[in-house]
Amino acid sequence: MDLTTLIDPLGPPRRYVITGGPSAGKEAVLDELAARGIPATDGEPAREIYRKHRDRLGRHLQVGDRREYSREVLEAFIAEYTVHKHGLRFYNRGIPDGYGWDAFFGLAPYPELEQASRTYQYDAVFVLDPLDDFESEDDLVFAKDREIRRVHELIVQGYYDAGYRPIFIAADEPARRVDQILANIPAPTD
Amino acid sequence: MAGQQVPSALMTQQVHGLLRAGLPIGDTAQVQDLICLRGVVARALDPGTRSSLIRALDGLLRWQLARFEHPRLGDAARILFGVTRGMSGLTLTERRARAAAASGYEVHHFRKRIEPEICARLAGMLSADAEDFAGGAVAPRLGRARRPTRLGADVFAWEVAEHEQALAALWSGVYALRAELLATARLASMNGPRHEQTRSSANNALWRLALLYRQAAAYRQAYGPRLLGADPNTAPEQLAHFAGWHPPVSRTTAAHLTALAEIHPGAEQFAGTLPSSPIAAEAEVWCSALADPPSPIREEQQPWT
Repeated sequence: MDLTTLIDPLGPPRRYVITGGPSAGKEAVLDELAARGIPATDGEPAREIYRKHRDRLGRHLQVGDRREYSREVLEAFIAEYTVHKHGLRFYNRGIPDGYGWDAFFGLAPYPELEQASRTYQYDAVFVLDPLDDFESEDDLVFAKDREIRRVHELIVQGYYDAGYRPIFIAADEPARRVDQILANIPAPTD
Repeated sequence: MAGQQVPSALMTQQVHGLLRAGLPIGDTAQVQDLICLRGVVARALDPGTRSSLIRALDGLLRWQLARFEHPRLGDAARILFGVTRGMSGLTLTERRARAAAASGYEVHHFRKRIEPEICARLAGMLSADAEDFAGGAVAPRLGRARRPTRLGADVFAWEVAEHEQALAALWSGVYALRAELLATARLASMNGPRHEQTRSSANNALWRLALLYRQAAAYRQAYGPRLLGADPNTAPEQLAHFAGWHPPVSRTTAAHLTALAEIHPGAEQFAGTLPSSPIAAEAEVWCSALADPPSPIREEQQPWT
């Protein structure tokens, strides 16, 4: 099945996740998809929820706030999933990203996340390998590069835990990565 | 369960043991050492249960096989472990024959020579992964910045940066305490432990310790009772150990110091309030012991033990 047929706005829904740790180049890949007219998430729902929480609390999130925050992010992901009814769409992160993120903060998975991961299934998951410059020695924010790597690896594990077999996309120019993603879209089984 | 080091030969042996059934790893697989690796424990949803650890190991191996980029052995390894589409459920003999063909080896040579090489390479990858998860209590590494810091508009990036910010603040407290402990030791050596300058420096050290406890309390509130990713588990207060020896502080006194530093973060305010606080006597003893430590210091006399 070719891309035009998959994109067909009247065709059955096909949902693909683009994910990876911070600095994996997700934004550039999603921009490239949008530039090619391929439906994809615009922005990231979690960002607004995060900002909203910070504004409401007047401080950064604390350990006691995280569960509520995770639930709100999950609701946003579910809403984004269910609103899509026809044709192909790429998602900026997916529901199982919650596993990795909660694990990073030492939280066990909660029932709603497990239920949602079972109920709302994506057709494929593309994990962007970290960009080469992400381990750059002169990047002060990410001097503790192991931490970034750990986030990335916990996200990957979250998808394995949810039963996916992620497809890994090597670090490259955004256009080449998109080519790689499109070449690896699994053939629909229905 | 804490992650642990496993000898490479044992890891290779246990990886090799997975070949018979391939992936997914069954509940009865002999992987008792592999599931204790740091990278596995860190990925497990519930590190206290064997089934969760096995699931984490399975995911980790699948990921490593997906990343096994060896030009000659990569495809063969994926076929051999049954992760290539259509290979799951085949017998080892069938998978081996296909893997040998994919890599261009005669099947007996493949079994005797190539399979052990693949397993050893995978064990090496598991070991390197475990090393990556050996966080420990290490101060954030610094480097010379040659470009401005720009974060992508990504919540994960913001949060990781915020955690890095909290860690940097904690470690700045550790180094400030260290500087004051060194100053006290030097002044005690030059002028004697009862000299006014030595006593003043010891008081400053206690103030620095109180500030560090306050930063540790803020970290706890934001991230929980242990430093994220540290292996072995490290409470934020325990970072004070890394500043250098100082007299032990009881938890009650530490709580008072934290509260005092919260209200009076400045050195002068802190010093002015301390004599009328409930821990005035303990503080006096602490400063005296720092300026004139008992000799020899026994190992069990560590703070926060």
